[in-house]
Amino acid sequence: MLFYLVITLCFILSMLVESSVLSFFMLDRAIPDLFLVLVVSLGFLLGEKRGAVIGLLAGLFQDAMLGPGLGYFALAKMAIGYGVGLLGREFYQDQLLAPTLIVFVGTLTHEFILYFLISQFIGLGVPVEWSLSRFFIPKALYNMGLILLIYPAVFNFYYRNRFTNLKAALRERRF
Amino acid sequence: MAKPFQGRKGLFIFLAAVLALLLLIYFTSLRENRTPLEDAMLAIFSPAQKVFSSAGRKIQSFFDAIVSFQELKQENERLRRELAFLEGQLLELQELQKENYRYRQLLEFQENSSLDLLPAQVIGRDPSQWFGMITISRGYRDGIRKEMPVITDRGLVGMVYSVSPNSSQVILLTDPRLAVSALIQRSRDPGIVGIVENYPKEPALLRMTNLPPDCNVQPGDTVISSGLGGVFPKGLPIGTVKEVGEDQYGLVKYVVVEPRINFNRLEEVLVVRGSGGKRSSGE
Repeated sequence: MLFYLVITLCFILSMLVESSVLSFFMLDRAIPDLFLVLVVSLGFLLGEKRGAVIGLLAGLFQDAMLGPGLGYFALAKMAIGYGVGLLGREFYQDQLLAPTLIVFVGTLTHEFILYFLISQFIGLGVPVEWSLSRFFIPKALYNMGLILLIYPAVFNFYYRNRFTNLKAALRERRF
Repeated sequence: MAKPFQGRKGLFIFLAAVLALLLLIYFTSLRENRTPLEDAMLAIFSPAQKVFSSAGRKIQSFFDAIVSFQELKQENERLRRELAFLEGQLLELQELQKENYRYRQLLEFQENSSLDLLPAQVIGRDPSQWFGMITISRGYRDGIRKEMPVITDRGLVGMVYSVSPNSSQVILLTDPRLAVSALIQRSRDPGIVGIVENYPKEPALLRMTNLPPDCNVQPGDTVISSGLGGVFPKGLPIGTVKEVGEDQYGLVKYVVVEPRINFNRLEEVLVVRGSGGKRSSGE
């Protein structure tokens, strides 16, 4: 319970930072996506079901606060949470290499999903290859740097929380 | 190796959620109003956004100062030399400035005196590259309504897109969904009216299209709003012509416009509440 409360606060803080502070540090309109880095980190640790639910809720929150309509970020982030959760089974969770590479691919996928949705429902006159070089790849590289800081913190907090819960359960059984 | 789709129930739920979200996108993309829940969320978070936005500006100033520190010494020396030269010109310039001020006052009175302007702070920005949107600190409680033009003292910024009680979202000129009717200030020819819209290949610039091939436009010309369409008042500066080109068939001209405003550094804006008589405002 405590874990999910802290995660919720992290998402709210990320929204505030992303929509205000980070926009002052954008390089040619590319800034890191804190929401996506959190969704990838949590999906990698918690599996596809909880990854998808966290991605869905985080995306809906982002849509409600900043999006032009509801569902764009929700769909993209839910798909990433689900996919990363599936991939998380195949790698060691205590090593940084896998989430770092996954966040790169995940960011590109996330941006392609958004590109497709916006092209279909709103209309977009930007060529995809141009978007890839100008926006997607710089953002993916930013996110790779960011996950090196965020994933270890999420990992430690998650396992410390699990360990505490386990100890409490064992103590109850013993007495 | 684990089989990812072994749990079919989970996959079906996931696909159902994808379908539901696609329907949600379809029904909310072209909507007129935000839901009450979205308005409530904006109302709850806008005070915190103000705080974070203010902190962001301070952090930016701090980093700007660090970056420029190395250059400060050399610049200081250069400025000292320039100061001596400029002091000699100061008296003459002060006279010119007073004269300019008087002319400007007259011009502003002539062109802008009927505008009812409301200042607002920029408290949030859309972090994605897709939509040029900002959130400002005024909402419908301050008299803001949808489609009100938003400007600064340097020129046109955009238009109010959605309104909440205490904040509003503004769609910028760089957003692909906004187009403004405009004309070239030098010629002021009413027959030559183009459409200024975003320039997808260069997000910091704008593009003015639909100009006739014989129109008199050249780099350095100023582009202003034409007032056609009734949303934006006539004469608001938009930017400067940077480059002139023709479409592939030579039927129409287009120009690349360098906006007068740096949309990434907007801090305060003015919302045009009306072009009629000014309201008595206590703001």
